Amino acid sequence: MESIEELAPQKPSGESFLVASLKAAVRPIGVVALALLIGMGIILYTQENPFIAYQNLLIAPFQSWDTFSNVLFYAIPLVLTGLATLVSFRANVFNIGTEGQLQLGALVTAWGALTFSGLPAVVLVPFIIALGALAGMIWSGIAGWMRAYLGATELVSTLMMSYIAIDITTYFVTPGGPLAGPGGATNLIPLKAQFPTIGNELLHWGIIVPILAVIAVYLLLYRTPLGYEIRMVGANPSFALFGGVPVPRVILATSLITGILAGVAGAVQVMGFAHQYATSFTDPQWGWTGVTVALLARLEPIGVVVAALLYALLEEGTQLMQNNTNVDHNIIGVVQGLIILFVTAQIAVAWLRRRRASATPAVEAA
Amino acid sequence: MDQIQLRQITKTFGALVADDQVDLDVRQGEIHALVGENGAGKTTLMKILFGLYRPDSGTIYLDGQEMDITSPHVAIAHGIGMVHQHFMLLPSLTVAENIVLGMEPTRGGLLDKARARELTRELSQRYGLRVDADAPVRDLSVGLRQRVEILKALARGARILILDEPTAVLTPQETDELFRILKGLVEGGMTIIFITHKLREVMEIADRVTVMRLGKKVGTMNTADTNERDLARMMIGRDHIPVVHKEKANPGELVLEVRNLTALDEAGAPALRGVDLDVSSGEILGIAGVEGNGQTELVEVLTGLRKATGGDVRLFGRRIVNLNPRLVRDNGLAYVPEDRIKHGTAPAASIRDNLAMSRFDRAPIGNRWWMFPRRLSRYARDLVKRYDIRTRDIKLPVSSLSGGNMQKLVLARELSMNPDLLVVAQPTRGLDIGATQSVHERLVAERDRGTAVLLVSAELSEIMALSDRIAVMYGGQVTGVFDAAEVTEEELGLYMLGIKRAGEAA
Repeated sequence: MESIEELAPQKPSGESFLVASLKAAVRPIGVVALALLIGMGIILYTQENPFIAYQNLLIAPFQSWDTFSNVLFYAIPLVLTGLATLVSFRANVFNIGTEGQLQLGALVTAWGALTFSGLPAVVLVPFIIALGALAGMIWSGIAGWMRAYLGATELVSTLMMSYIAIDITTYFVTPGGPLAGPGGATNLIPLKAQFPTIGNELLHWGIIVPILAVIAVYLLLYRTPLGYEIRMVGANPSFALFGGVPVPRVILATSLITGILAGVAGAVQVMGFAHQYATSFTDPQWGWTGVTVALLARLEPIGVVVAALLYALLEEGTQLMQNNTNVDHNIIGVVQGLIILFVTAQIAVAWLRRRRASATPAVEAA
Repeated sequence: MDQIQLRQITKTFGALVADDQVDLDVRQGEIHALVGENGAGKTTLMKILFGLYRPDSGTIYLDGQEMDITSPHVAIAHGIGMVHQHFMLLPSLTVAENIVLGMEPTRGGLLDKARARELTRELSQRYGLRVDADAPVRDLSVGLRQRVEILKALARGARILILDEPTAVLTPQETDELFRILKGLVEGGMTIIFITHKLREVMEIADRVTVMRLGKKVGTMNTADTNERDLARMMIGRDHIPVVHKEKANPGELVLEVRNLTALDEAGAPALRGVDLDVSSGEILGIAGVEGNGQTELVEVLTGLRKATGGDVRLFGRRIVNLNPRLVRDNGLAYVPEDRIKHGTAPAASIRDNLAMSRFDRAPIGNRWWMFPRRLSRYARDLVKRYDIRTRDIKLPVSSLSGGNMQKLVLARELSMNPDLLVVAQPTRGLDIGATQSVHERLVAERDRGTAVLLVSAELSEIMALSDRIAVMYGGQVTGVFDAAEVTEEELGLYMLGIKRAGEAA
């Protein structure tokens, strides 16, 4: 009957960097391991050898640079969307619209690369990344503004605006649309706007962007006044308010940062991977996966890297497993589904807790 | 044989030993007071009896039978009920619905409202606890909500009732009413365990009292054989009931001027109806009043948390009314809020982060763009030391602190702002004697430093002990201002109850 918070283990918010990083790294591994264990049971049930399957899934990707570089490649957008989600969630702002923000960022980046192709590469590359960031920022900012100043529930508004964004971007590249090139996509962006590849496979120099983003978000959260405000608004909004934190402004700021990171994710995927914006962009759902990644990481920047790499490992490993064994790749879909199930339970709990906190009635004598 | 026997109960939370081989014997049909400073282990012991915590070792006997109380359900099944400090009621439901919650009488799969109402009326009559079964709980006063909590326990067949600091939230009148109810329950054969640290209440209502200190039992005695002074000595291990020593105030220039201030409450009804107040530097102005006469709203308007609908507030002549909390603070106001868990701290965040609030973006911690973690740690450690906040590590969450230490943290943060005006609401609510004394000393020292202090407290004795001048609020107005040295509690009481007001009587 006593409050759940009191019985639950407390999360110390200021451990040493090393301890905090280790802990943040261990949590996602635990959840993924549990999901894999259940997956192992399913493989056994299908009368296949789970050890050979998992050898291909989990170990083979490390056995050559080519396969490992693909793991890194797959992690690029997930780190960015994971960080995007994290920033809002840390302030208890449940912005789940990163998917749409990413799509808009990708479209605008492709448009920018095609329109300003006369610019030299050193100007063009940062410029079109900034365009993508701007697009994501504006889209996310609208929902953030509505939450901060009108009280509109962001869980609904960001979700709905995500669908609107996807419809808009699809319209632009569907045959007959303003930016449509051949086959439901824009034209290919000029070579100078593309990230060069590293090695023989998919990995490209765009990987620098998520690395910088992790450092930036870590420093933002733990070294800047805004980050402090974000963490305190998340920990206890009425404490933050009474302490002089402009809570609505912080909520708006987190939404803008989320949008920037999601938009950049879209830009990087266009510049390093697809080299155009296509309707097929909506398929891999990097934005949605970013929500899972952030929750898997328990909203710690270092955890996001680990969680994104784990997800990427499954991505690459699934292909190897499919090539080398008879195990159906849908098994890994089940494993991913389990991971989502485990972590989205956290959303529900956090959401309910926030609602309960804002509806707490009785007098609290300390 | 005693109805409840706890034997050698030990409970630890990590490194903290909350209860250390505690024995407790409670007789059937008595009111047994459990007293001790904050952190003495009283509440933990009772949570063990109620099945909320499992003891590390020790045994519980109920009517001589060894019991394994694994959860509150088990406790309830054996007739143990607990009324927590924080009420567990659903505000939107009616009294009757709250009482039957979890054991709803149904008809055709739906809640049988008539039966629920009937049950409530029956209980309320049998035990003499008057409540309106159809009133939504959100419309009830704190005292009535507590009554609903007691009825809830009785509806589940409680014959042993544990009350955790039940009077902390009550007005004197509500406290009297509660005591009348408790005496009635005991006459009907109920056993009551009453956690408190107000010794006056122990003497007034308890048959026997057990004193705890630092997780250990100090002793159990009949209240008839002891007195407040002895109990206080046992509780704090010191030899006197603390009094604040303070010199006569030396008020300086006018700091806070409140003129004809008006504001509404949540429901949109007038809460402040033209408040006038002055506070000068170097004095403590106490605001006395029965809770709910506008004190809370006054504090919220002063601190920028509530909009005023009219009137003026000036700090050193600068208008601060309807500024946001940050700007109010920048003008030199610091604020110790009434509820330190809900507003005064972020309990899940670290002690260090909590101490950083309101200055995280300025020297010595950082600037507008950057916070320096080492400087922050040094700053926090310095405050922890200066204000004697008892903790192992500044990186632990604030929720690991006892109530007294939490309040020290809030004071440390607010006083270190070097404010011109300090607004303090219920600064010692729920604190033990030792912590209360240390808070009082801090406030007097702050006054002597030249700060203007506005103190709001529901405890008249606290107002009397600390204030240089006392303003009484009644019905959203200040109805009288007195020199603390020249007014009696009785006189203040007449103003607090609205029987007298300035200008009408001499």
